[in-house]
This record gives sequence, C-alpha cells and structure tokens, in this order.
Amino acid sequence: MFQSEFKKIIPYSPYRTLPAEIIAVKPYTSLEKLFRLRLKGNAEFDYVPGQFMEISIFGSGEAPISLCSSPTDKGYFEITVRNVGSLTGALHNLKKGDLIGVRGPFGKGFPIDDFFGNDILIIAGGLGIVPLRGLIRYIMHQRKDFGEVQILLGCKSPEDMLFNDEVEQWGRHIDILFQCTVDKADPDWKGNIGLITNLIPGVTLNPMRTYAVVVGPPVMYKFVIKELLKKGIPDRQIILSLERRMKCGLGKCGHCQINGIYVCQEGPVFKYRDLRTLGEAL
Amino acid sequence: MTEKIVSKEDLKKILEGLMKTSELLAPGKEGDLVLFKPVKNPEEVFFAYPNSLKPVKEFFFPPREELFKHEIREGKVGLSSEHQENRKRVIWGVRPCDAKSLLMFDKMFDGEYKDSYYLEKRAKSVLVGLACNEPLDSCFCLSLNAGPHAKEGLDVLITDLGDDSYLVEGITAKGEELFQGCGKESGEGERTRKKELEEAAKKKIRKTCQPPPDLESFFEDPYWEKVSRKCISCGVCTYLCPTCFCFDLSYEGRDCIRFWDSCSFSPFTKMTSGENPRREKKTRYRQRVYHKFSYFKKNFGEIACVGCGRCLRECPVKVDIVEIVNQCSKDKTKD
Repeated sequence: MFQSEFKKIIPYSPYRTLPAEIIAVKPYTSLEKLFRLRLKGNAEFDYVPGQFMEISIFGSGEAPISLCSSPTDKGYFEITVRNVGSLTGALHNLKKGDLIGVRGPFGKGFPIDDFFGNDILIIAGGLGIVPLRGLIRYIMHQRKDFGEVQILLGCKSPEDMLFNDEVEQWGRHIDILFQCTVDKADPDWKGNIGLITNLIPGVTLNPMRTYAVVVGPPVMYKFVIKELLKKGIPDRQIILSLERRMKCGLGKCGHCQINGIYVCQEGPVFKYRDLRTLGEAL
Repeated sequence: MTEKIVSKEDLKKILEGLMKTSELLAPGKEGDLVLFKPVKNPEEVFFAYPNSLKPVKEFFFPPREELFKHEIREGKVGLSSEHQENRKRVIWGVRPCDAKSLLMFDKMFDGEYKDSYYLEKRAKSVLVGLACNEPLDSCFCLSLNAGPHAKEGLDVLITDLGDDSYLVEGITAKGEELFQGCGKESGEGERTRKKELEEAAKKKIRKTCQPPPDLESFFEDPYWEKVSRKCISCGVCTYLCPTCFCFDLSYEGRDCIRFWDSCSFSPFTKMTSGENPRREKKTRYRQRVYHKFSYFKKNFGEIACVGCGRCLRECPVKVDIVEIVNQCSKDKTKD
C-alpha cells in the first residue's frame, strides 16, 4: 500500500515524515491554493486517486489532505488546500522551494480496477472536486480504458470554482459530457443554477454499467444517493469518499472510527453498499 | 513454572537489589492515593491496596510522549534519533486486571504497524503481579475472562499468604530470574492456602458484566440518549481506563508529540471544515460502549475491558458502564 520511501521508515516509526519540496503554488480562489510537491531526492511515489497524505509543518501540526493529482502525472504530486485552520494557514504562507513533511499515501483510493471498461459518472460538490480531479486526470490520461464519462460539478458560485483552467478543458473535451451548476451567480453566468441533485434526473446512463463516483459535503450524499438509486445504479456501483479526522492514518488513534472500522484504513473511499450497514457513516 | 515461598524480608532484599540494577516502579502512597512511582526506599512500597488510582498503561503509552524531534543542522532539517532509556524496568505490584489490559495494547500496537515506542518499553519491562485478595464492590474482572489471581500478561505472580509469607509463582523466565536464589520451596499447606485465598477473592466479586450478544442491534436505540444524559463528557473514565488507547499527534515547536485523547470530547471527531460526526453526547457515549464491547471484540476477539472498575469508582457523576451495558437489552423490551 505504501510507496517505497515511506515503507522504509515505517518499521522505525510510522509517524516519521518524509521531506517534500514545494515546486509550485497556484492560487485558485481567495481561499484555495494548489501545491505541487516532490519528495526530496526525487524518490518514486505511487498512489491511487482518492488516497490521502498526512501533511505536516513544524510547529503547526499535521492533517490528512487528499491527493488531487493522478499517478499518471509523473515527477510530482499535488494537493489543494483551503485556508481554514492553523496548519492550512501556515501552508498557505509557504512558497516555492519551502519544505513540508509528508507521510503516506494512506487509505483506499477509488476502485479504478472496477472502473475499467465501464461508464463513469463523476459527481463533485464543493471541495469534493479536489480528490476527484485526480481521478478525472487519470481517466483523461487513460481515456480508452473507460466507457462513457460524465462529470457533474457543483459549487457555490463561479468565483468559488476550483481548477477553472482544467474545468474549461473538460467542458470542451469531445469524449466527456460535462455539466456544471452553481448555487448563485451573476446574470452573465451561462451555466446551470441550483443544487447538483437537480442535474441527475436529466442524465442519460446505462445503470448496470455505470459507476457513480460522488464526493462532496456530508449533506449532499443523502440526496445524491437517492437520485442515483432512482436511476437504477446498483449500490455496489455508487462510490463515495468520507471525510473524517484521520489523524494517524494507521487505524490506531481512534478519531476516524465508525462502527468498528477505521476510515483511514478501510476508506476514505467506500462502496455505498458497504456503508449502508454502518450507522455512523452518512 | 516454579513456585516458592519468600518472606517479607526476602522481598525487601529483592526490592533493594532491583533498585540498584533496574528502574523500579511500585505502588506507593501519595496522600490518600495509591500511585505507581519510582521506588526510593523499599519500606515505601505499598502492598495493602485494592488497586492503584491509575493503571500501568502510562509506563508503556505515556500521557504525553515525544516521538521525535526535527533538528536544523547546517541549515538543513533532519530528524534526531529517538532516545529511549534501555535499562531494565521492573513494575512491581501490578494487579492481574492491569496486566491483562497490556495484552490488549499489544494487539493494537504490535499489529501490522509495529509501534516501536510502545514495543521498546514492553520489551525492557518485567511485570511482577500481586494477586488480589480484597477485590472491591466495583470490581468485575471475573466476567471478563480475568480474575483476582489471573496470571495472563504477568511475568511472575506474588500472593500474600498472611503471616509475612508470600507465594511466588514464576510465569516467564524473566520473571523467575528476579527471585533466583531466595526463598524456599512451597509446601502443600501453602498451596492450599493460596487456593483458598483465590476462591475467597472470587466470591467477593459479585458484579458481572454481561453485554447482550446482539448489542449491535441497539445502535439506533433511544436508550443511549437516556443513559448518557448525566455524563459530563469529562473523559476521566477514558484516562483511567487500562484499555483506552486513543491518542492525538501534534507538534510542539519542532517536536512531534503523541498524547492521550478521549472519545468523550466533542472535538475528538471535529474536522477543520467544522463538520463533526459525533457532536451529540449520546453518540460519543455510545462510541465508548461499542468500541469496548463490540468493535474491539469484532476486530481482536475479546472485549476491551478487564473489569478493574476504575471508571465506576472515579466517575464524578457515577455513570456505571456495566449497568448500562447489562441493562441495554432489558430496557429495549420494556419500551
């Protein structure tokens, strides 16, 4: 599960961090920045979209952060972080050339092996686009391995949209059906306005060969799942990512435990079928 | 396994010897409290106590532990090597319930990821048990595959036979080693006396913990709201619990620190986004109950409780987890 560099230090202490250098910073909104990182010494780094890293800064602490790049992006990995707390605030103050600590990758990512040859419906709400961007990049790099690909993206306003340069490409891509909706917008906004849930009934899909991959705020899941089930997508083909306080990443510290499973180990990506029996999941 | 009889004088001599060769920790009085502390004088070692206020987990999993330090050398950041004192450590007077709890810690910290910080402390420690002749009303170890004279997890067990004589039962080689060359062979009478004491102690334990086999089916029951109403979420039960191991990680300056945390606290599950899956007290209390009596059992084959009773004795509002777990199914049928 771990890439080789991190594996080397685990026997000594799984809490030790690997130094990673910030090789680029890209602000997307007033609150969110993308950080492109590289392990010191350019060490090999393998992962699956949907997995997360523990990111640390001296004096500020450590937090789980989703990877937002794809393993097909060679020579670097990326995270996109909203400036909301002390650690994320400190991270936002860093610039190209600065070092941070990383551990991981942790958890189970999107079940890409299951996706091969099937249709994919990606539904991203708010910051949910961050881990899904890694999956979208993966799919675009290996486009022939997948069937129909549709993306539904929802955010508060056009100004809050992350990865807008890439979103534009997705919209233009002939091989991808792309729709976007915002909660509110100026009159010159040409896209949809309203909840992402409203887009689902209009989507054309073959439920038996569609995997719906949903990431968004907890409140979104209940409504989106209902719509997807109405479409006839089986619960084992509805894929979700849970947000929890995954502090250690090793299934020890207890913060992310729900109904006896550790989200940092069994998740954060789950099949809806497996979450139905976990009372605390959704 | 060897058995021998030693006198109070013998024990004092052994303690004196251990003070010189090892780090020796034993129960001692601190005002009205009994706590494990470094032994400076064998006379201070306390034998007549039901159980220490705090379990021995803190010696393996300290409340606050520096895991490693980042150093800046010649302008470059590096990690300093972690130093642990490797002198042998003897923990003297451990009650069987607390010894058993460490086996549960082993399951947690000696699994797929080896926790070197914990395992180094385990490897250098010898546990000298003291059989429990006077269990308290709040003790319930018998119903949890433990007992007042249980040997599981110990290296050697001492039973106070009265009349200043003690039966010493070696359990592991490193336990037997401590008592080499002292005492005399035990006789039939002494072994019978020990059996009697054990049976008498068992009879004193009346409290039993019997979680319903279908505990999982009560997960959504309003019961948890009702029983957790008086809990003040202070976390005392988790801090004093010999099997609670939840922790947090942080940085103090350049030091990476691990410290105890508690599922009783609302921020335990709170995320930076502001989302908190266990904001309600009943969900936190239910988590504690289910982690011990359902999840740990599912993951590791046994209940994460040794029946030491500290959570009952020290709870400021007298929440009784045993009653709550035992009553759970009955309450359901009443509704």
